[in-house]
Amino acid sequence: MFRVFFLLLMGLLVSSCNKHIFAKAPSPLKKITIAYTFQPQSTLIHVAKEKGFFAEEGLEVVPLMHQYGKTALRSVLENEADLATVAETPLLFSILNDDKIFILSTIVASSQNSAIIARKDAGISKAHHLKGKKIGVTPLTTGDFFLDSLLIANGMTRKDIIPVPVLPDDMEEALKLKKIDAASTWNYPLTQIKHLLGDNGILFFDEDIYTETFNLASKQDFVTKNPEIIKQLIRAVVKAQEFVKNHPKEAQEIMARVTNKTPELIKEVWNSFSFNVTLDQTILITLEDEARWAIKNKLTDKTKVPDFKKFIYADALKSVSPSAYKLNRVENEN
Amino acid sequence: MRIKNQLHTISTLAIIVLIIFISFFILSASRYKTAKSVLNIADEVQIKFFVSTSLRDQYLLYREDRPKEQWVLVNQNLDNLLENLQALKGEDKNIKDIVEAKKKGSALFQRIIANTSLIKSSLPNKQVYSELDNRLISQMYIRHNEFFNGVQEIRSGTEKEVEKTYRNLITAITVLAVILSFIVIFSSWHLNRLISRRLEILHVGADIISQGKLEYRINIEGEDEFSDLATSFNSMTSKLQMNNEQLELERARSVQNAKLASLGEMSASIAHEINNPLSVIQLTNSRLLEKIKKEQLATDTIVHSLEKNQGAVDRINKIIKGLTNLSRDAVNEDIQVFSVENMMEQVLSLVGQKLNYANVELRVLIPPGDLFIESSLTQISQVLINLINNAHDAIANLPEKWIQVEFKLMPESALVQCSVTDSGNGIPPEIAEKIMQPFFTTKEVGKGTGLGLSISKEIIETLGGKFYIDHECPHTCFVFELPKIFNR
Repeated sequence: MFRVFFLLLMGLLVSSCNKHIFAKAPSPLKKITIAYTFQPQSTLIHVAKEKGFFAEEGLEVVPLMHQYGKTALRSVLENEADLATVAETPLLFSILNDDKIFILSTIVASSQNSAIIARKDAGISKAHHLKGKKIGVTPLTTGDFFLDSLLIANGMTRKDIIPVPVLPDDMEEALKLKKIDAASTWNYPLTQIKHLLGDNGILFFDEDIYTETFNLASKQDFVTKNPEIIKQLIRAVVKAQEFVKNHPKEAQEIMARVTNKTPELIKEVWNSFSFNVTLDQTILITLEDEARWAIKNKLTDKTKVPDFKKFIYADALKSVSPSAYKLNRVENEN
Repeated sequence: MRIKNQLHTISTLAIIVLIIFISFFILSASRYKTAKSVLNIADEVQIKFFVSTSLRDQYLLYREDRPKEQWVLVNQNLDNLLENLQALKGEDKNIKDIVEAKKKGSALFQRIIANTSLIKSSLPNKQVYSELDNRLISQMYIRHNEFFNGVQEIRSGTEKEVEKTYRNLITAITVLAVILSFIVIFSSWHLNRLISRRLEILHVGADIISQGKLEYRINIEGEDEFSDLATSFNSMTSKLQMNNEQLELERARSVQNAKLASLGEMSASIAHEINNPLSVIQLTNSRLLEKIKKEQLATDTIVHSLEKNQGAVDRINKIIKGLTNLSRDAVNEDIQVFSVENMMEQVLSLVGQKLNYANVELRVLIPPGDLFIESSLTQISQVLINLINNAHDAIANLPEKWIQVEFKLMPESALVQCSVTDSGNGIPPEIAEKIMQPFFTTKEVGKGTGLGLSISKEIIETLGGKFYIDHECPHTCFVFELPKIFNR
C-alpha cells in the first residue's frame, strides 16, 4: 500500500517538474492594429482588449480610434490599420468602389440603434411633419440609409426633405444651433441628443424597416496572408461575446470606463444590441437592400448588385465557432 | 459491532444509495422525456415553418388571398407549438429569441399585407410603397432567418440534451447495479466470513464439551450475538460442570452406601465365618491349657497347637482384609494388574460361607493358568459380590441352587468376559427393562437398596466395559465385558 502511494507521489512530482522544466516558452505576441470606435457596436473589441482576450490568443492589439466605422474602414484601406469595426453601409460603398475587402464576421446587430431625433419647436410632432425640413445626416452611413427607409415607411422620399450633411459628433451642436430640424443618427449621440432636447425632442424610429450590422473587416490581402491571426482575432472576440453574455454588468462598466460615458447612458442603450459573433443572412440581405438603394439613388456608378458572398471570409469563424456560421442553412432553406 | 447493527448499516446504506440513484434516475428520466418532447415540437415547428414560408412566398409572388389565409392558419399553429415549447422550456433565452423573431416576422408579413393594398391603390406615391414593400420583405427574411436559426439551435441543443440524458439514465442504471452488486457481494462475503469464523469456534467448542471436557470455555472476542451466545454457552457448561461434579460425588456416595449395604447383608455370614476360626483357637487353647496343667508337654505338641491357632488367625485376617478392601472408597483407586483367581478367593472369603449355609453350589470357571487383568480390583470385586448376592437371593427358594461364575478371554477383541449365571429361569422382559434403573428392586422392603445393578453397570462402563443381561441363556445370566488392559 505504502509502495503504491510512494510511486504515485513520485509520479506526481515528476510530472509537476516536467511541467515547470519543459513548459513551452510563450511565443511573442503578434502585433495588429485595429481601427475601431467608441460606439456601443464596438463593445466586443473593447471587452476583448480590456479583459486580455487578445493577449490570451497571442495578439497585441494597437487601437486606432475613430468617431465612426466609415473612417475606421478608411484607415484600413489606407493601410493605417489591419482591421476595422464598421457597419455594413460603409462596407457596401467600399465594395461598390471595388475595394478588395473581406467581411470576417458580424459582431453586433440591431434594429433599434438608428432613429431620427427632431425638434418639436421646428413644428415636428409626427413623422410626416418631416416633409420640407432640414435633416442632418452623415452621407453614405447607416444613418443615411435609415433616413431613406423611414421616409419611405411614411410615404415620403428623399426629395420631400432637405438633407444636410453633418458629421456624427456635430449633430448635437447643429440641432442646438437650429442649423437642422432633425438628425438621422445612432448611439451614443442619439440618446445624448434626446436627453439634451428633453421635452423639445421627439424620436422617430421603425424597427421593421432596417437592421443595422457592425462587422469586422479587413483588406483581402491581409486576410489571405494572415489566416492564423484572423482565427486568433475571432477566437478572442468570441471569448468577449461569452463574457458580455455572462457578465453584462461588468461589460457595461468596461464600456463606461473606456468611452468616458456615464454608466446610465451605457445601460440605457445596452439592450438595443445583440452582441453575437456570427455570419448569417442579415449581412447579405442588408447589403443587397442597400446596394439596390445606392444604385437607385445613383450613389454609385454600379448598376448591378454585386455578389456579396465573395466578400465574406468565413474560414476563421467556421474553424473557431462552426455553429456561428449560418449562411449554408439559409441557402438550403431558400 | 453487533451483526444486527451491521445488517442495519448495510441495509441503510443500500437504501440511501437507492434513494440517491432513484432520484437521479427520476430526474434524468424527466429531463429525457422533456428533451424528447422539445425535440418533437421543434421538428413540428420546423415543418410548420417550411409550410409557412412556402405560403409566404406564394403570397409575395401573386399577392392573392388564398395563401395569405392559409398562412394565417399555419401561423396560428406555429404560435400554439411555440407556446407548448415555452411551457416545456420555461425561461429559456433561445425560446424567447425565436418567439420574438417569429413575432416580428409575423408582424412584418402583416405589414406587407397591409402595404400591398396601398401598392394596389391609385395613390400618386405608390412607388414609394413598392420600395417599402422591398424593405419590409428584406426585414421579414432577416427575422425568419433568425427564427429558423434559433429553431435549429434549439433542435441541435435538444438533440444533445436527449443524448446526454439518455447517457445519464444508462449511467444511473449501471452505477446503481454496480454499487448494489458491490454492497450485496461485500456484505455477503463479510457476513459469511464473520458468521462462519465465529460459528466454527462455537462448533469446535461444542465438540470439545460434548466429549466431556466440561472445563473447556469458548472464547469469542467482540460484542456481537456470537460472543453473547458463547457467554451463554460457557455459563451453561459451568453449571453442567458443577452439576456433573455434584452427581459424581453423589454416585460415589451411592456406591459406597451400596457396598456398605452389601456388607451389612453379609455381616451374619461373615460373623459366622470369623466365629469358626475363633472357636478353633479357643478349643485349641483350652486343650493346650489342660495338657499344660496335667503333664509336661512335648515341644511338638505345643508347636502343633500353635500352628493350628496360627491357621485360624490367618483365616480371620483374610476375611478382615477382604472386608477392608471392599469397604474402601475405590473411586480414586489406582488401576493395577491382578489375578482373577486371587480376586475370586477374596470374594469367596466374603460370600462363600453365606452360599454354604444356603446350600448353593458355586462353580468358578477360570481359564487354565489363571487370567490377569489390568483394572480396578476393588470395583470388580464389588460387582461380583453384588451379582453373587443377587443370585443367592433370587434362587433361595428354588429346589435347584447353583451359581456359576465364568471368566473367558476373548482374544479377537482383547476383552475379558465374565458371566454370573444362576439356576433361575431368567428375568421376565417387563422387569428386565427396568432392572438396571437405580432404586428398582424385586426384593422385600428392607432387604435391598435397589442400587446394586445400576451401580454395577455404571462401574463396568466407567472402566470401559459393557454390562448386560444375556437373554439367550435359559437361566438368569448377567454378563460384563472388560478390556484386558485398562484403556487410559
